[in-house]
Amino acid sequence: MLDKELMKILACPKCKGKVEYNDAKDGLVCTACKLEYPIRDDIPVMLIDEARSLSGN
Amino acid sequence: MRAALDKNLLIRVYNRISARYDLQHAFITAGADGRGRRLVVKHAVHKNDSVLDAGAGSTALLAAQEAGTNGRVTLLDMNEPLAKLMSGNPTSAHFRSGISVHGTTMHLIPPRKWTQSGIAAHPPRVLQVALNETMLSEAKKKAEKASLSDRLTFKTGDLEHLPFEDHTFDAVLSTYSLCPLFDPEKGALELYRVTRPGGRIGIAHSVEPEGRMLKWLADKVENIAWRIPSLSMGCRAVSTLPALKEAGACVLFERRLGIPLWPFIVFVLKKPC
Repeated sequence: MLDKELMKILACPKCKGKVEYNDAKDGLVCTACKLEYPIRDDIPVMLIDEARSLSGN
Repeated sequence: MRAALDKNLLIRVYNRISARYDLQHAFITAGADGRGRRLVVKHAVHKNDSVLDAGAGSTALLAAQEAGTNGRVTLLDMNEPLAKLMSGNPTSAHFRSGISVHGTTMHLIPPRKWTQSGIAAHPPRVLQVALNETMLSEAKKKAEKASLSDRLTFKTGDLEHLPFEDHTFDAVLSTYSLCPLFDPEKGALELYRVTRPGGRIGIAHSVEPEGRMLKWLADKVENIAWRIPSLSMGCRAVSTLPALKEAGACVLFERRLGIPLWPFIVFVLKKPC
């Protein structure tokens, strides 16, 4: 799990909105952008380019 | 303003020159780079501040010392010498999770692996550090010994999308990390966005020389330097202060440093005015 203080200030780099854990706790999800940022080796990769689209397109 | 270096080229350049960045940057700036960092920290960071250092190097250490043991420093785009310094610290267990903001070619390594295998070629890009007294004093001692200064492993364009909420930090610092950005103004406004109301933004970057002759000469020199990317390091004269003022910031401190042909501006702003 990520540091709580870090989670408090993290935001989606695209819309600056809140990000939350996904069900598997292996990614951070921005529901507004429908993007999932992967967590690799306990490090969330907050890159728009590397985010997975959840829109199903 | 000159167009930024191609992002991938810039990444290759910074990877190649990281070992000599300190010396090269100090030489180019005639030693003004260290002075700029100290001025930024002195005027922007207060006791117990939560600080973001964008393009973190020894500025982060100075900021940590200034913010004190109850302060909190978030390092963004941490460079290799700082990673080495921190990884060798016996209190490195105080590191928090790192996150990748840039990471284009960087392989992210969680802090726990640093102590196992030493520092890898590509350190984590963002790290949040809770500093205790021992760590501060150790870091200070090591910094003094190692004579560390900034070695940016900067990736152009990435500061434009900071993964932090609005109004997060008491003080946000950028020493020489805006110069290679594709859009330095946008990067500066991102720094402004994540600063708390009443907080301070401390910035140092290259600016155009004053006077037509010097501008002309500087342009010619830059033309030559830009043929050798490892010499120019993607650094060019940029302007961010007008955009920040327009956004509502007011100037607390402003000074020009460096040689006439390659001047720097150092300024600290308050948000909002």
